[in-house]
Amino acid sequence: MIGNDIVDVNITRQQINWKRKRFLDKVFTIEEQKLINNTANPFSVVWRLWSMKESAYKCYMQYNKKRFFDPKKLTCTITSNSFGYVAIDLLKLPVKTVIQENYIYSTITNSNTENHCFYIKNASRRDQQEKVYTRLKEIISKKLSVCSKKIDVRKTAVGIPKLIVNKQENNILFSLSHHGHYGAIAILNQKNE
Amino acid sequence: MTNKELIPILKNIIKPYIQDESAFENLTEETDFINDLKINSANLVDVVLDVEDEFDIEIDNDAMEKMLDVKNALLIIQSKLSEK
Repeated sequence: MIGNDIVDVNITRQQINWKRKRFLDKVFTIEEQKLINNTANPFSVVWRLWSMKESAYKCYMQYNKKRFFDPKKLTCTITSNSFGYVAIDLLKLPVKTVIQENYIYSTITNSNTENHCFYIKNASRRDQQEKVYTRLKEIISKKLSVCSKKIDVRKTAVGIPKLIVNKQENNILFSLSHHGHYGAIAILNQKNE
Repeated sequence: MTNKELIPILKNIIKPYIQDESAFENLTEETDFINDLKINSANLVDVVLDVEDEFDIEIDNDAMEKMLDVKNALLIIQSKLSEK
């Protein structure tokens, strides 16, 4: 299982008014809103929960044919400062969240997953995606001992990126995220790596 | 209201959130909010709230679930307006 999401804290602070009337009601369940209201740092909790939901959504969409936009269908439980779960449909996904000064990063927890978070200097949207793809190709190139030029990324009909190596679909599971000045890659390693 | 009348209002609502100018300029009913206009999913919540405010309607999560493109946004608006 794989899924991740990174939130650029500064951009989010500028661009999203989560305190707006009815915003929380569209995104968070009553239980989740209790978590948000009972903390000294609601901003952090809001974006932790949001990134947990996004990570779980991306994971779920690896197996689902239709996109949907209903954040309340993904329900979060917090178990500690870094760990929690997201329930969606029949899945219960363990999620780890890292809260840094400039970004909040969530990823489906798995001992075989390697996570890379990195700064992107030019935050234009096209650059963000390009930098993430380039970094992904560098990592995969080393893993498979294949030249990066032979590696391509293509998105499925529901927006899940897949690797094409030497023109053939490769089934390494990975998840990409980018927002503002931050990019992130999670890759599920095969057990014997 | 007809879809033709609704489209410019909808365009005005989504404009602050779009991150792909050319997709916005060439907007059709098939235009996808996330894939084509590159609207941040957090801003999609804003779009839903702005639509509710603009038309004085309520879009519950069951309706919001499908609101991923212009066509479905128009359908939902029409449906909620007809319920009034």
